[in-house]
Amino acid sequence: MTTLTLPMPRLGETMEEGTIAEWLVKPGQSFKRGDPLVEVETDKTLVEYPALGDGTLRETLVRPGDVVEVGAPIAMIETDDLWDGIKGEETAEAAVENVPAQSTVTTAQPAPRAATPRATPLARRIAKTNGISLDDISGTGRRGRIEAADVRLHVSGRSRPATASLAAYFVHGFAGLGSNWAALRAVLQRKGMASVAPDLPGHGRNAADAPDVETLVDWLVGELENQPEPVHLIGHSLGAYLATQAALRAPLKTARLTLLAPAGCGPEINGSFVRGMAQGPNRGALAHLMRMLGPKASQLDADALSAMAEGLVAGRLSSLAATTVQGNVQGIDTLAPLLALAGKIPVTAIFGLNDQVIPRDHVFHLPPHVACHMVAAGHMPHWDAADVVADIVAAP
Amino acid sequence: MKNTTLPQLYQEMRRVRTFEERVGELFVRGQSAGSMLHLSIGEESAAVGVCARMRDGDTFTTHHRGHGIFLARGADPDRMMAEIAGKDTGYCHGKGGSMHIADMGLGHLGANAIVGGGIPAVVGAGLSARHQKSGAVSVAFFGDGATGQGILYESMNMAALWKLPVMFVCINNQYGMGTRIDQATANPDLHERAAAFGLAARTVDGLEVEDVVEAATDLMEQARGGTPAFLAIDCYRFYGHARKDKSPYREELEEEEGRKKDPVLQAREKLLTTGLMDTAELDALDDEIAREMDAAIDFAIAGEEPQMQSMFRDVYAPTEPEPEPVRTRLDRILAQG
Amino acid sequence: MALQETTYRDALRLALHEAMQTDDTVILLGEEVGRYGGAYGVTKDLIKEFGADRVIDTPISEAAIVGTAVGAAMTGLRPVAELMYVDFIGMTMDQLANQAAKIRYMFGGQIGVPMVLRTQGGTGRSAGAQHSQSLEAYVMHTPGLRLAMPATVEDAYHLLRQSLQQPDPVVFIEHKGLYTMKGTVDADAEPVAWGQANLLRAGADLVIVTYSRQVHHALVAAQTLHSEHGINAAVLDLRTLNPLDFDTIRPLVEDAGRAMVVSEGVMTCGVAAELAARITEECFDFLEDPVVRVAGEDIPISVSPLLEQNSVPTPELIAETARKMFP
Repeated sequence: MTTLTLPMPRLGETMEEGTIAEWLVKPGQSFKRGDPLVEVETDKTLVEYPALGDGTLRETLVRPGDVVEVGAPIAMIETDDLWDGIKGEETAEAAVENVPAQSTVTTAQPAPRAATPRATPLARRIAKTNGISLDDISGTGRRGRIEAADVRLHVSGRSRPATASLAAYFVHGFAGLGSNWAALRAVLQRKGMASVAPDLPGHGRNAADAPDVETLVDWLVGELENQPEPVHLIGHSLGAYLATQAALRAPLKTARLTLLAPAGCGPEINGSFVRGMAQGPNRGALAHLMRMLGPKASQLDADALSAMAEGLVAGRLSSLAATTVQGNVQGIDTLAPLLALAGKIPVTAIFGLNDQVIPRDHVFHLPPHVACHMVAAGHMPHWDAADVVADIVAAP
Repeated sequence: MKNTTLPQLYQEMRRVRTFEERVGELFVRGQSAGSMLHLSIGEESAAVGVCARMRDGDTFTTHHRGHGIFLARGADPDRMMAEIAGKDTGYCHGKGGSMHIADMGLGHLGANAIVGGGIPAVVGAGLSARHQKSGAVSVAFFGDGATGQGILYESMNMAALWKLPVMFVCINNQYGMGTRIDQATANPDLHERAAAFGLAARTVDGLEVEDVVEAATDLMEQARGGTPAFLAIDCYRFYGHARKDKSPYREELEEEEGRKKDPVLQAREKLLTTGLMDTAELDALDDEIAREMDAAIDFAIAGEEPQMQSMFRDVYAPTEPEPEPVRTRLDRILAQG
Repeated sequence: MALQETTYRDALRLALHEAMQTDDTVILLGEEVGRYGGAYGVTKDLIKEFGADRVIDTPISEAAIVGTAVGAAMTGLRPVAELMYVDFIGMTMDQLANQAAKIRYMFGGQIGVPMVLRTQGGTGRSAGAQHSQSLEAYVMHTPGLRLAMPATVEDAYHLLRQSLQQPDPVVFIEHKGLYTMKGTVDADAEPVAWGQANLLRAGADLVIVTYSRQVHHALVAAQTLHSEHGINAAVLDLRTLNPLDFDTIRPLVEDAGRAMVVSEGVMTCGVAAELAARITEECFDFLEDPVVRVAGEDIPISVSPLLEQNSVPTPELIAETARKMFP
């Protein structure tokens, strides 16, 4: 004979406790398997608890009316049979031990958060792989966060000549936008080159006016002076003129200069293109102008043209156009400042072989210190031949 | 089809009752998986009477109170009890349990825990039978509670419209959980609804199992011939909704009266009075059945638990990749290095 | 049969026709699938060839249509049930989610439910709040159900043929705005395998993950992004949401560093939410930007074409959002 402590059975899915209704077997009385031992009441059920084997009830530990938790001992019995889930006398003690101690619960105080630099997951991964602390890197991404390109720049800066780690500063052309550079910037970003491409005064989201080129140059010089490090200055068309002038005035912030389809390197220009852009063209007129600009530009869809037409507010650029182009003749000179840069800053120029706005032959007017490249493109080499231009720009 | 002598019908009903009593015991032993156990004590004549008229190849669906039907159709009590205990040795390897037991070998298309949920499947099985010219009937078993579900009427309408070999069996134990049938409908003559859809429809008192067999014989023959049928069987749910609740929704007097409507005792009395069996024979039979069901309990308890990895099996066909466990996925994502 | 010019609608019918011709156990059932030819004409004339015993017009009883298909699938037929609008899926949810989806599992692998539930959803016809929804998330949220959503004419054919080969229940959601779309089907060509996404446009800067009609919006946006902004966006058509081909998504996102998920279904707890979460979890170390969801507004769909169009992602919204990812 084994003595077993009977625990309060769980007689319902959600039952946590039950009330002893009645003992159906008295102490000292024996019972057979299946005989009801005790009647238990819960909020849902009134259930008999049948014996799971033959035996004798030794002692009841709870009385009718007692509210008893599931698992708490209710009786001692003697039996030769095995009762599922019920072991010898130690069970009762185990049940008691299982009651959670009324110890004080301590809540862990959160450790103060270290001020970690904001960085993208990819930037963090590259930094970790290269064993670099993000604290040493300044971010150029959205809201100043560190992006992969920032880290790559930092990595390459430690192992390569300084020029390779230069950030690019893009200067768009007449009637252009900073976003014109997105294709080229995307390629450069994959090469680990960070860049910025603002809208110039008189253009896009830049609220300032641009009555003449001097205003633009002044603005650009101001912007360059605010750069933390020297940049690779890259200008397109009129922007190439502006960049050249600005490089001359801010030499300490200009490590390198690249000109795309530069204006001011000869007298001729497609004046109808410039005036057309300045007039605030509608979508149809703009489509016609874009065909002059080059193959990529001529593929712009209706939505893109509408968006562009919206941005070209009639009259905003007419004064600037008048000061830079008269008829089919340019009123600005890029060649003189370029000559002045000889020996100071490396300069590269890229011309489109099919440029319909500025003749490609202006390449022959450039001073000998400028490295020249001719690429299969129209007036927008950075659209029509982004990969080629990127290779030239990113070359050490 | 089985022989349907009264001793055989009594034996089957006693097996159902004893099985159900042991299911209650399994629960108290802590061996049942969950407490969703709905006993069909008092309804044995419905299960045994209708199943007596089913043939090999026939299919059927049942409800949450379907142990008796499956057993009467030929289920192995060992594997049933093991399934109720959530063991790998059960009919569904412990994944279905009491309310989702099934066996394609016996044409059991599944018990169902959604009231009325298994009914429309027999319409589909009826379509298959017609398409395959198999001559099979498909039978939906459900309780009076399911007569509140729209799916029953959608299904009866389709079966009648398409003249399918389908039979609807409503085991009217008077209660949908705690709500008596007359509190759930203004017209408790349930067969009238089926008749309105064009089904051959009857109600039979479940006290005499032979009456149930007679009604089932008639209706199933019609169903097999393409006139879908409906049979309501009146009986009384002896105990609570799930196992033995204290039934606060009904009077003790009503329970006492209801439990007098006991098809098992009725059959036993008749066997004694007609002299077909004597007390000693009946006691011996009952003992044998008790041993059979005790063995089922032993089988269930001895059965292996399912393997943990089986958790991800059978969500899709065995040819398909199993779903990735949450832990595996997280370990992969949060792996160091 | 070689390459043929056809429409999304006719490609679906072609798939059904071929399946019924080659497999006697394939039956169609649903509201108006027979004499009417389907509310959107997909099953037109099939009843003439295959008869009313295999192309079965049903009463308006969505729950029983699906339930009947479940029972038929369990007993040897291969039913294709049609739910006229996915908006009615609520009527069928017990039969779909509690029965079809769980039967194999509950019954310990004894039997599957090889049925296809064809339905259609989405905006584009001013059909109003109860006939314009994109409810694929209801299905994707239920283990056991496969979910296919064809975007192209080719997939209207091949995905439906593939769905009819599956051992498990497939919910096949067409887009009502695509039925008249033209394209080609090559019934002899080796199709993209079941469960595999299809990269319709390569692009190194951004991955747009999408399905169904939004595939076309994404392609338009990708063209704009390329020509106007020089941003190269890849467009990945998932084709099936269950199985979900994450193996194709992962390397694309890891290479690009930026991902956008586009879905017509409402944003909250939608397919886009699940995909964005999964991409963020799985590709976190490769991301340069949050994975953004461009999805339906969290509102019902209006009947006004203006309000309707703007309730779901447009090519403009996709392009504008992508543009903002490149400051």
